[in-house]
Amino acid sequence: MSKDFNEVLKQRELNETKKDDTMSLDSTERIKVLSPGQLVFKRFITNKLAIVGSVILIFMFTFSFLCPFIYPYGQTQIFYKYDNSLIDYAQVKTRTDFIEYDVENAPEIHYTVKNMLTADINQMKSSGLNEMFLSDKEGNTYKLLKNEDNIYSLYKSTVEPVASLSGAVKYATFSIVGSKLDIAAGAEEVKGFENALKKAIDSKADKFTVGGKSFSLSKVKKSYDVYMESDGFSYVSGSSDPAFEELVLNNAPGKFEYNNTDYSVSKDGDVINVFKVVGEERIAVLTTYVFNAYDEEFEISDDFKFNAIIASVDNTAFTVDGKEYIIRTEEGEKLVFEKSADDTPIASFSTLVIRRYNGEDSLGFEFKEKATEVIDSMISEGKKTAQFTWPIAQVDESGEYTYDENGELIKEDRTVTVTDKNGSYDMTVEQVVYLINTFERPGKEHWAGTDGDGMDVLARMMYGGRVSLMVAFVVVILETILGIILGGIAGYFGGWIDNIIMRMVDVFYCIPTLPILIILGSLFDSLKLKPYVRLTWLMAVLGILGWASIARMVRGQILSLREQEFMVAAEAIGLKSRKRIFKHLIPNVMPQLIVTATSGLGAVIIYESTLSFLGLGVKHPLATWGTMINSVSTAEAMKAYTYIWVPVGLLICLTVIAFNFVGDGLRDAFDPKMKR
Amino acid sequence: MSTEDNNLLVVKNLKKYFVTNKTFLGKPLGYVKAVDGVSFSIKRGTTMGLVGESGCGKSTTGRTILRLQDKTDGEVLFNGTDIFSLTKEQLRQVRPKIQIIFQDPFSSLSPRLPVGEIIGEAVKEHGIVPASEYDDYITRIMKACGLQEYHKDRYPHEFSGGQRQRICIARALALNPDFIVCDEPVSALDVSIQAQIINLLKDLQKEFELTYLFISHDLSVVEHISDTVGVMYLGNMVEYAETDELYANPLHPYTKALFSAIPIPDPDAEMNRIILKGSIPSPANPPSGCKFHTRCSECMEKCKYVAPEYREVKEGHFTACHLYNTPEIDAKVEAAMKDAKREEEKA
Repeated sequence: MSKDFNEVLKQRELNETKKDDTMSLDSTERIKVLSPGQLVFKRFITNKLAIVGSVILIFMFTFSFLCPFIYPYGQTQIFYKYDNSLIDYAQVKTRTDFIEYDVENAPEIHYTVKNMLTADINQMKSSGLNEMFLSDKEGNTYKLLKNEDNIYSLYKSTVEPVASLSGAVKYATFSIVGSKLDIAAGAEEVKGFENALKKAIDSKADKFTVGGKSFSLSKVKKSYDVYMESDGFSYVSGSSDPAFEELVLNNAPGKFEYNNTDYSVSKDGDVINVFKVVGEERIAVLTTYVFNAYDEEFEISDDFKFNAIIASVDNTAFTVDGKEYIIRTEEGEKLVFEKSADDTPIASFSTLVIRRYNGEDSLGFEFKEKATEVIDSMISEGKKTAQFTWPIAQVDESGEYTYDENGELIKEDRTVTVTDKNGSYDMTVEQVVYLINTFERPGKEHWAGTDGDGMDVLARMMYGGRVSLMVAFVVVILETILGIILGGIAGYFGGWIDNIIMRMVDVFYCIPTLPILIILGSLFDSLKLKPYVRLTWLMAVLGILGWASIARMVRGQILSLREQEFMVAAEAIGLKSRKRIFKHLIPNVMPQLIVTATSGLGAVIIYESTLSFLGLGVKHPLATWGTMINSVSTAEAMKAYTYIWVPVGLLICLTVIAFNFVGDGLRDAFDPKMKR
Repeated sequence: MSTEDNNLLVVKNLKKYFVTNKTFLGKPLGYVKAVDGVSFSIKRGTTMGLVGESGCGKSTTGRTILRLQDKTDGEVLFNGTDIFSLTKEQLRQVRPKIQIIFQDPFSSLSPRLPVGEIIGEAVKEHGIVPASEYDDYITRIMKACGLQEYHKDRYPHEFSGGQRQRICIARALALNPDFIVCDEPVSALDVSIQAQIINLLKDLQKEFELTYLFISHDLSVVEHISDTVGVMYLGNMVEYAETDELYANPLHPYTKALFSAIPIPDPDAEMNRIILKGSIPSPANPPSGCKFHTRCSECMEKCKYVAPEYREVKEGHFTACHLYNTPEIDAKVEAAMKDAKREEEKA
């Protein structure tokens, strides 16, 4: 017996008398009917806080995801600025080491003398000597003469040997094998020497005397060296003179005068040689002078220097390359003039060495002269610093030197500061340099300033927002998906599945998140992951660590909803399981889920910031709000660079608050039971 | 048409035990015998009232008939087919024909669906009407249940209790059912609304030839709506008869006590109330013999040991009480009692 309600009802409708058309109180037309979606929307927009939150979030998303397309700067773009900065320009040193100029074709200086020259000059300076005599092993004597403070001349004496006093002189060698006797060449013959020697060897005596001479023996392997003991001076010319010999012994080595004749004495081991000085010859000059040429084009050759020094000593003119020069002293300064035009100096003597640090410009004579003058006055006044103004070649904003149309360096007047640093003088000059523009205050160029790496703070806030918001969404979506699936399965099916999943939840609740993340952070560090790979991993880990609370919440909700009568009703009217779950169960979990998820968004943003701040999360130079705050991590920096961390901190705060507002608003809007 | 064929629903010895205790391995230790062998049948187009105290198993019976719970034993034949022999999909197909109206109109409506959706959901699912007529059909059903068309887009929380119960009725009715279990549909409502709902149910029954199982503990309402009435006590049917017969001539002492509690709307009338001692025993540990013997005013010794047989005492009047035993049955009962006593002594 089948009946159709529809037909019955239609019949009934037909039978009904038509009501009058006046609108009744409960007429449909009187009441504006809104769809459920519209209702939710209407409820949402009547919530002021939700509107505020939405506006903030819309701003944040626009700011983070759209503004970077318009904004001209990138997140890792480093900015430079051109700034005047003190740079080391030149260094001045007083020259103390002597340069040796050898006279052409002069006899060679024995190396023992040559090596000792500087030490000898210092000795002369300290003991105030004007002359010093030196001698080498070969018996040559030298004279070091002080011409003036900075010039010394070295003379070599020409000598004739007069006499010698030897200690033990090797006289002969006696070889035991074959009884061979070699007498040293040129040695005088001593009668009966061989026999006396043999006797001495036989009697193992080490000394013997024969023919008025004493000999000593020393055994070397299988032969004997025989030495003849000295018996006083042996004269090349002249005869023995005890007074002379005493002078020799007192002055060995050295020089003495005897009978209006100069003698020199050299000592080599036990042997003393006495020479008569016949004459002397200049073989070298030593000087600390350097030459500064007035004309930069004029090259000062070694020849010139040598001749100028010699001429200075001898106070004569000199000729180099066919030109004759003279030296004159003007105002305490030695100047070199060309003899043909002696009003313009060619070069000057100086003991100051001026060295340019680096740069394309070279130091001109005038600068050197000025510097010398300033330093001299500093020395005389006992000042440690001095300043003077001088035109100096400048680099432009790109760090290049500028030239005018003639190819000359363009110079500008700058203040040169001279500082005495224990005998050397540093010259510093202000110059334009190309610097990383760090910690610039907010201004026209950089609206939010630049950070410690010279990166634009506003750009980094935009890109940082991208990362922060993206991390928050991805993590929360991951958490929520995991939470809904696992919590839903646990709640809907119950039994042992529920048990297993809930124990998993318990385990995840037990995991200490921060230590795990610290370990993972260092793991990522050691793996040297790329920033974006690292970010992906971080999101995955945060999601996996965070699903437990959502799963627990979903399970609880589903457990309670499952027993609600409307779920029984849904079964009674024969709905499929899928429809029961998605139409009746899930929508009832939604408000809770939305609130949890949106406040979760805020929490994840804070979490990510904390991790980045601690250096465990996203790595510099990739910007996130957390790393940006991290760039000012000391109390001083926080005080000085408020314009960096305050805006970023505000962004984080605002975003988290906005997410919470929107979450609350959504919950209220989804919840039809809420009082309007 | 035989009598048997005229029965829309036949319930035979239906049992529903709930497991209360389990061993560690999940082996059941204790049961609550919520429904312990209930049999009845309902004729097409009639209403059977099911009355009893709270916790006597009325609602469980109703829900088990719908297979919203699994049975422990027995049979439920709807239109001759055993509900429990159907597969899930077959059951889903049969669902629209057997509907239920719940006691609590507040929790039985999903708070997140608009009313039109609540009513129409299953209509769509089962394709009760062609899609083109769907909207009109819902409107018609709602009008038939005393709801307005504009209520469609409202949410349940915006309605009063009476209106919600109408929504529940409309939801059940929209599926074009043959049989509706009314599980205390008016107990949550105030009296004036109760009357509206009862009259609505009666009107709809007339119009659509519905068959009701009307579960209630309000005897007046049951008297008003039912054609036959069953009385349950602690999971068992103790008495069953046509309404007039039962109300005029209750046989079971429990029924008598129950009916004596019906208030008479006359302040001068003297009420002969039979006051039952104690409260209803726990169904987890029911008394031996006749379950009612602990509270029965006419309790005999055999009542304590032997459960009375549920049988037809008069034409169409069934009861389970030793008071109405024939001598042959009495003899059997005495014998059984002796055996039981002996057993007890042994123990």
